[in-house]
Amino acid sequence: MPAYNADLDRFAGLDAQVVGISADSIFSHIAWQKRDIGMLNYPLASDFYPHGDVARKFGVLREGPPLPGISERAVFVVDKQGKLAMASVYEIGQQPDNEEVFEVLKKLS
Amino acid sequence: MALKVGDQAPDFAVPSVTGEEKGTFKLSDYRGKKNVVIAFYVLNWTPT
Repeated sequence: MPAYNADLDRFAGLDAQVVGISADSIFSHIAWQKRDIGMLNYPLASDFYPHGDVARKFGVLREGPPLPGISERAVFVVDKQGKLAMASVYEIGQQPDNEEVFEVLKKLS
Repeated sequence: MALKVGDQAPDFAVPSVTGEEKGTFKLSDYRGKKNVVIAFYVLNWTPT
């Protein structure tokens, strides 16, 4: 998630708002930033209750191993009309490459 | 199955924090204004 923070100016330049989302509580989001990754300048959203509801809507809720109730690692780009311009699911341990997202955003602007 | 390019994004509104500042993130607030990059990640305290 720090990789998005480092590129926030580039996202802003392409008229894009970044939001991170996981099934953690907002209190966990705050503690994680304070004690581990540092404070982020973009929102972290909490898909905590009803648990995984947003992930389910996007079709990326994991209901099997390694841990039921977490989401896939996935990036969706929503354009200004509310349509998906990117919908990519990654290996759970893989940090997506922001360049791929920039290429999609450039085509929208 | 994950949604696909070209699908309408489902709206959602959930609690959020920016740093320590609590708020609500509602996708449709950005309609007509900004593109939104939604980064689903696995869990806090895990790498990346």
